[in-house]
Amino acid sequence: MHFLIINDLKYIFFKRKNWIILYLIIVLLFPIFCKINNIIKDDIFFINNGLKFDNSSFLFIIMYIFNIIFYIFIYLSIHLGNLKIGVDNIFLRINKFKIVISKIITCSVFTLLISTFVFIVLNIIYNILNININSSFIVFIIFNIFNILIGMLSIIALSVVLYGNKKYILFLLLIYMIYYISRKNILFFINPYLFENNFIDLIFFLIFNTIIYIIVLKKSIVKIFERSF
Amino acid sequence: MKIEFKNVNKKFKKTPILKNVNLEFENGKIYGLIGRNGSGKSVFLKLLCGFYEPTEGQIYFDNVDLKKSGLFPPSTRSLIEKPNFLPYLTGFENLKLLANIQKKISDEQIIEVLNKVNLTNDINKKYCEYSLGMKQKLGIAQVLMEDPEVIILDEPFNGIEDETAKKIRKILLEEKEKNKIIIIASHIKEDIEELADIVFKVDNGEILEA
Repeated sequence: MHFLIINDLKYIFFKRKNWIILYLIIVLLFPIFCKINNIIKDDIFFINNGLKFDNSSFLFIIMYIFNIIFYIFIYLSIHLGNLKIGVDNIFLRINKFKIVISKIITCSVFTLLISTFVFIVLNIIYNILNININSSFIVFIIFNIFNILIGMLSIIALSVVLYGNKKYILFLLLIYMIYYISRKNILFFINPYLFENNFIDLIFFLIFNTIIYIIVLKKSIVKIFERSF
Repeated sequence: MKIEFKNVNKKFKKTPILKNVNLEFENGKIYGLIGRNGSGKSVFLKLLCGFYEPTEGQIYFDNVDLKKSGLFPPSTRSLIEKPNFLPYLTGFENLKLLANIQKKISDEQIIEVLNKVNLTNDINKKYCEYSLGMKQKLGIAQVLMEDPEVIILDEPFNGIEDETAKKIRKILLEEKEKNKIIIIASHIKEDIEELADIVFKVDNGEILEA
């Protein structure tokens, strides 16, 4: 499985390096633009990383959309882009479950690497610009989870579109509905603390989403592969 | 091993590519598929490998429905269209990476299969420096190296010099003697006629015994 992960990471860092560099430049220059335009807010760090939607400035909206688009693009590239490089050789040697798991690991490792770099450099930039941010390791972890969630949801959406099966879409919506209802009622009843804490709620949603992702992608990986030829 | 195609249809959007295919493949035989470019040979081979799913019908490997099982076919290796390897690795490194997935064979066995396809002198060359013929030979080495039960080759002699082509034909006949299923597609009739026990003609999405 590590072959697939290394193969995917190499593909992303070699073939998508221009996108990654563009993303880093924009994200790292964002605080400077904000400082120049004097639109610094308390939660600027969150806005910078696409973690919070704020419509008080056009720049904030652009930043939010840009962050989301970047991660969706990279995640889709991990799932689709490298299928032309020897994956037909790999498919016959490995089962679908391992392929799906390897994609999750690749996406998570990529997100972890990029967001760690962004987190460290942004902290330095904000310090140099004398902007006070309350960024912490927890924020960093939330940032990671948030991006992984965006990516996984986009893959689930893609798989559903590829399936084009109305019953399947309804089934997925039903599962998501059950999750939301159960999380607010059943799980809250079991331990109210869990859902007072947004971070833990996010972890629960990540686990839930991962299970759905594995089920959906394991079924649709051939369809995705078929479209990539 | 027994492979069966039962009423298999394949469409892309609304365009039919394969129409009502009913075929059986058994051990110890070489099957040839002849057809002009675009006749549906590659789509047929991709269905066989589980890379495509039939729009209608079933493909069975030892009575297991490939689509329902959610698995790729067992002990099957293929070279379809052009070989795909990582360009920045050598031929040997590429095969070793693939062999590491299942860890069935040793480095010596990889070198042995590279010798078989006449790539001994080029194993340390990067894949991106390989000629078309060398890439094809590496693709065939990849197919043979783990001793699969089913061998699927699409235009296997593309760009290969006569001497190596002869050698590969000999290897395929040896593999047949080991009771394997070998399926070869080509648009060159002579390639197929020389090797195949049973020849199928692919024409306009229909596959018929020639």
